[in-house]
This record gives sequence, C-alpha cells and structure tokens, in this order.
Amino acid sequence: MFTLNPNAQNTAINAEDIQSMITHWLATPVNGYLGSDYGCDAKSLLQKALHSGIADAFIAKMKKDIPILSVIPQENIGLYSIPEPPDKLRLFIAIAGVTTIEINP
Amino acid sequence: MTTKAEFLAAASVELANPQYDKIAALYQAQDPRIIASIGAMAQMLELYSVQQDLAETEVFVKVRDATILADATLKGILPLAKSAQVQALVTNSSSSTITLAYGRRLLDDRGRVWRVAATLVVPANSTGTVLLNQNELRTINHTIANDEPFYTIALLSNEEGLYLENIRIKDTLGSTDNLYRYAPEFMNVLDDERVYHLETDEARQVTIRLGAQDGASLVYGFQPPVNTVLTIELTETSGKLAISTGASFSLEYSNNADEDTLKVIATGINALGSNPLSLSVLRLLSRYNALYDHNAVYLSDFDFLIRRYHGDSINFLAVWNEQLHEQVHGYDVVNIKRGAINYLTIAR
Repeated sequence: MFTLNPNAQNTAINAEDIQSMITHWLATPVNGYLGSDYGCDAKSLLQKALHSGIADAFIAKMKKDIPILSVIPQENIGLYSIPEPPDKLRLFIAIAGVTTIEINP
Repeated sequence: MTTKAEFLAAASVELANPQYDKIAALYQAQDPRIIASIGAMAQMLELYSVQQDLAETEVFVKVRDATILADATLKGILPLAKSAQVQALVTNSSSSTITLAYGRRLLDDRGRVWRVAATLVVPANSTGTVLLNQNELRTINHTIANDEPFYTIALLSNEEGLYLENIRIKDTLGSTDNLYRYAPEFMNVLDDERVYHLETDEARQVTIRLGAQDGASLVYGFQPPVNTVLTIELTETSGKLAISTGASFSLEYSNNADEDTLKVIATGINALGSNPLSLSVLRLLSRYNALYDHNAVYLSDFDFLIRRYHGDSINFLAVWNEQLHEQVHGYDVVNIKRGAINYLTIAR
C-alpha cells in the first residue's frame, strides 16, 4: 500500500507524505473502507458545469478525509488544470508548490 | 458488546507507543493511510462483537430471524393464511335466469380473485345473495417417482405472493377418488389409511410428507406405489384484506351478454382474513419452551407433574381425575374441573 523507510529516525511529516496521502485518497473509491465514507469519486467531476461548485466540494471532501490538509497553510494547496487538445483537461493538485499530483479518474 | 470507538481507543493507546516512530507521528496527523485501515478493522471487530453478543444470549432468548423460523419449524407452526369472506348482493337486470356456479371466479377493484362459495341461481329481474371467498385454486399433479417411505413433495411457493390456505390431496387408485387426511406427525394413524403430514423449513417452504409401509416393521398410514398420480389442490389467498361493504365485483369471464349486466356489490363482511404468523408473533411464540410446557392438560399428566415437582419426598401418591372419581363416588356438581390427590409423607 505504501512504504516507509524503517531506518528513518526523522518523524517529521514532509510534502512527500502528504503527496502519498492524497494519492491514496485519489485511488480509493468512496465507501472503499468498511464503516467509513473515506475516498473520492473523481469521475463525478465529468460532465458537470464548471460553475456548479463541484470542484469546491471535491476539495472540501479531500480536506475532511485528510485532516492534515486543514492544518497546513491554505496558499500551499492549489488545484490547476492544463488543457490538452483536442478534448482533454488534465487536473493537478499542487502542494507547497513543489509536489504535484495529477488527478486521473 | 465492544464498540468501534472502544477498539479505536485501544489502537490509539497502542500507537502512542514511541517504538512506532514515524507511523505514530502520522497517526497523530490523522494520516488516512493509517486511520482508514484501522477504522475498517475496528468496524469489522464491532460487527463480530455484535454476533458474539447475540450468540451468548441466543441460548436463552431466540433473537435471529433464522433461529425463530427454525424454532417455529420444530414446533410445527405452518405458514398458513385464512381467506376473507364477504356476502354480496347480486342484481340481475337481464330478462333471463343467471347461474353463478360454485367456484366461479370474480375480480374485485384491486384485481384479487374471489370464488363463489355456493352456487346461486338469480331469476330474471331479481336479486340474490352470494358468499364469496377470496382465494384461488391451484392444482398440481404429482407422479410418485420412487418407492420410498415417507415420500416428500416440496410445494413451490406461489409466484404471485399468495399465502397457502388449504391443501387437498387425492389419488385415483382403484378408479375411485381417495382423499388423504391431514395427520400431524402421523399420530393415531391406521395401517393403509391415506394420511399426510406437513412440514416447513427455515425458508418457510412447505413440504408434504406421505406415509410409510415398509413390510411389517414400519407402518405409518399408506405409502403410494410408484407411478401413482397424486392430485394436490392448493387453496391460496392474499390473507388479510382491507375491504368494506359497497365494494363491487365483476366476473372474470362472462359466458353470454346477459351476464355482462350483473351487478355484484358487497353487503356484509364475514371475515377479513388473516396472514400467516408474522416474524414478530413467531418471536413471541419462540419464548415458550415447547408446545408441552409441563402444564397439566385435561385428563392427563397430573401424576407425572406432581411427582416432578415433589421428587421423592412423597412415599405414596395416588392421583385421579374427575371421571374416575365419579365412576366410584357417583356424580356431583362439585367435582366439575376437580381432580383428587391422596398422598402420604413420612418425615425422615
């Protein structure tokens, strides 16, 4: 599922940890864990109007499921997109401006 | 019962241990990679804990639906319903006599089938009263496939969700109609007597069990030979209905134009019908140990029950009932519903 260096003496949580948390969240369907609504449904973003507020709900759900995202400064989390011809839009979540994760429904 | 929160608290205490190093730090930060899987495990343990709790009390109080149905099965409680019955006024405004034969099918405004309980002849421009039963007849022909004592026939449940009301079984051996009698658990059955017993399982599937004749050793009623064709007539009903006077009925099929003018209106409700015992009633019944719960039954078991409660503290005991008492002492009104006990105790 995920790997941690067993020899690491450093208990500090860095950007890579947060990146793998978000990767884990993106890879988990909603209700994938028994007794919890943890997870995301990225496909629900498709075929929706851009102004419908669904992107905000998506980020809100992510923050609820990954509480650490509410702790780190908000300007360090960004959602941006790159249009890719002819009909694609690639979505990215950027953390601390260093680590970038692509949303791949 | 141990709840999910209690399991999570135990996990939290364990993860506070510094040997877990970075994982402990990530747990403190509520990392979903750790929280989610521990949460799922705690949820599974809670579900298991519920089952374990049930299993501990199930010995004393039957809780699970499957246990209750199994208990009802053992007590021989069959999922039978009773049909509704109404009186209906039949108005014949045509100029010819109309006959509603026994078993003629009528429909009510909800499409339920009602059958005429007794043949009615209505003269021209006249009225009559007919009794209608809300049930349908389903006939199954079953050929006995093998020579087997206590042959069983499983009844397929009704596809329209109707409840079983009555069963009539017959064969035509010797060119006569031979009816089978319902004899629960083959009690008081003569050799060669046509009887059947009904059973049900935990899925409420009803099974007919026929008798056994295995030479001289095993004789319970009549065991039909191979290739006997049994005719099984099932009466099936919707059970309890909400029907009131004024409800109208129409013929399912009319044989001629005159019958189209018939008006059938319910004028009286004889019975609203009843459903098979529901799970909540069975749940109550399952609290009783068995059908025989060591209460004295009329004319029997007095001696046994007194001995059961007094053990060997009684040196001499004679118990007799009203019938026996009056054979010796003559009839008297004070003896009604009385038994008599003579006993002798010797202190030891």
